[in-house]
This record gives sequence, structure tokens and C-alpha cells, in this order.
Amino acid sequence: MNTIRPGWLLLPMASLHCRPRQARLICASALVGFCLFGLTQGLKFSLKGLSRGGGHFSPLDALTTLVVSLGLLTMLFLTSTAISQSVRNDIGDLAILKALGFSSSRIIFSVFLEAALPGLLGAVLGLCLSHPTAVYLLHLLSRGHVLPSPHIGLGQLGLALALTTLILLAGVLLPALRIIRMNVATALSGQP
Amino acid sequence: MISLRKVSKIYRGAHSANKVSVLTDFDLDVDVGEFVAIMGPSGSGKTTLLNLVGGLDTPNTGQVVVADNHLEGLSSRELAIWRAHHVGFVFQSHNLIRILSAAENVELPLLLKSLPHKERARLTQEALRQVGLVERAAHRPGALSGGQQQRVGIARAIVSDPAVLLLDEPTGNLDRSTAEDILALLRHLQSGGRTVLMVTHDQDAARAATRTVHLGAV
Repeated sequence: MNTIRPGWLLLPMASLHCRPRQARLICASALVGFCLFGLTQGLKFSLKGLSRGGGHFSPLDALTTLVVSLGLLTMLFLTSTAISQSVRNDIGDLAILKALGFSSSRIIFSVFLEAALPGLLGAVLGLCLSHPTAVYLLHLLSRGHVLPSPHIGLGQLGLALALTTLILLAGVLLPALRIIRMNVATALSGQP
Repeated sequence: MISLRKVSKIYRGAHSANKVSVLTDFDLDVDVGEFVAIMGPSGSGKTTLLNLVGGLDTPNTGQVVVADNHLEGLSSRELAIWRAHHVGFVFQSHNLIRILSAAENVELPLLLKSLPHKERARLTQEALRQVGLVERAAHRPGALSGGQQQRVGIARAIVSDPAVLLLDEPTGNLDRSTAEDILALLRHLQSGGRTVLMVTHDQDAARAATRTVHLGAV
């Protein structure tokens, strides 16, 4: 035994190591989703600054909300599909864990962690990437006007991490039902 | 230790007419420290019997009592906790987790016992030593032969020192010499007070047991 990782990380880390494609998909979808999120938040801040004499800027709010919602829904779809596929492929392995005495909640937590690690990494990377992208886009859009610099604060970061966690929880919901309802003896025998 | 009373198990197919009754009003008593071999033709319910005793499946009728626990009255969560603390399984088709190394597979039952890492590592090494696989600890199942995988499965079953060992064809994939080593290990565990229930087709393996139960054909 040359590993010193805590026991609860054993399966998620092994899964990430052996299924990099799934981890990359979840990380990339979170990265794109939260890059869009950060970008729209940053642009909205700057454009609202431009129109501060004109009161509320409702069409911009509606547009940014739409773009962010579409990005996050796409992330939810991709994450949920990746987790479902993983659980479907590994139903035999999950049955072994149940047979050994792992409770359904512990197995679901492990599946959640397997998605949460790349998901949160992608969300943070996406937010980090969104700031320079927003600055560049504003530079293109400004055409000589001086616009307030885009701002992504701790509030947006907290909201992004909370949204990521919610999306991952929603993504693990259907696979969790499958794990709870699994017949261990049937799954171990390899029958569908 | 193990008591089955009038246990019946019926598997239903896709159509209601496709019913297969594998155990009917089956009774069995196994004392603490007994080593019982279960023999019988394919389809006679040997694996079903192990699944019922291990709480992986529930009977249609009858009672299954293991270590004073009425299994039919336990919820799936209670059954999981009970399995983690009382039972070690060796499955016919190894059933190792492909993405974990041999040592990590053996370590799995210890994760449920809140042991410190050093203690888990020590027990894992000890279990692998008992089955003669210390030098293959870092290998994944795909890099092990069928016999070695079976021995990893046996190490995983004994690592947490369970009171009941349930083994489905534990020597089926092993050469004669390794099979005898494994049977000697099982006898050693039995002499230490473990109760062993072993399904086998192998007459030689069955001779290692203190008693043989024959299941009839369906």
C-alpha cells in the first residue's frame, strides 16, 4: 500500500484516473458554463455602468439571464449524462460495493465526488477565464468609449460554486435512484 | 450461527408462467465454527443459498437467521451494515473492482471500519500475505490471472476478520497446489472460530469441510 489518501477518496480518485474522458467532459462543460456566467456578469456590470443615467437596463438583464441559463442547462445535461453513463457501465462494481456492506448513500456520495472534483475545477477555471475574455470583448465593443472595467467579485464566485453544486446534485439524482433500487444479487450475476 | 427454516425462493421470468423454484421449504442449521460444503448440480440453488445467508437476496417464504439476526426483518441499510461487520464473500466470478489495484480491492471492507490508514495498510498486507500475493499488490485485476484474482477475492473476504465466510467456488480457478493452500487457510480460519459455507463442485475441496450438504436438482 503506497497510498495515503483518505478512504472516502479511494474510489473517486481511482475513477478519475481510469475515466479521464468523463472527467474532462464534466470539467469542460463546467468551464464553458461558468465562463459564460462570468462573462455575462462582467459585461452586464460594465454595460450597466455605461447606461447608469438611464435607470434599469432590462433587455440586457433578460439577455444575460438567457445566455447563462442556456449555458448552465447544457452543463446540467452533459454532467447528468456523464454520471448516468458511468453508473450504467459500473453497475457491477457498485453491486460489489453494496455486497461488501457499503450503504447506498455512501456509494452515491462517491459517485457525486467523482463528478464534483472535475466540475468544481471547471467552474473555477471558467470564472478565471471569463474576466480576460470580458475585458477583450469590451475592448472590441467600446469603439473608443471608456467603459467601466468588468467586475467579478466574491459574490459571483460564491454563486458560481453554489450553482455548480446544485447542478451536480441534480445530475446525480437519477443515477442515485438506480443505485438505491439495484438488486445486488442480480447485478452481481451480470444480468441486466 | 446460521439457521434457515422452510425457506423457499422462486425466480419469476418475464412472463408469469416462467417461474423457477430453486429452493422449497429448505432447512439448514450451521453451528459456530463449522465448515460446510454445499454441493449440487447447476441450478439447484447453491448460489441462491449463499445470497440468502449473506443478505444479498430475500426468500419468498421462510426465515433466515444468521448470528441471531433475522435477516428478513432488516432494511437494506441495516443489511449493508450487518454484512460489513459479519460476512466475508468470495464470488464465483471474482467480482473485483477493475479500476482498483489488488491491495485497494482488499482494503475496501476496511474502509467501513473507521480504521487509521496505517492499520488498514497492515491488515491488507497481512491478508495478501496469507494468499501469497504480496508482490502483486499494486496490480489491477486485468493484469492478474484468474487464479490470482480469485486469491485477491479471498484476501478481501478475510481481511476484516468476519464471523461468517461465504465462498462460491473458491478453488474453481486454482491449480491443485494453490487450491490446497487456500483450503488449508479456510481450515485454519475455521479452527479460529469462523463459520465457513462453501459452494463447490470439487469433491476434493468438499473433503476439506466438516460436513457436506447436497442440494437436489430443480
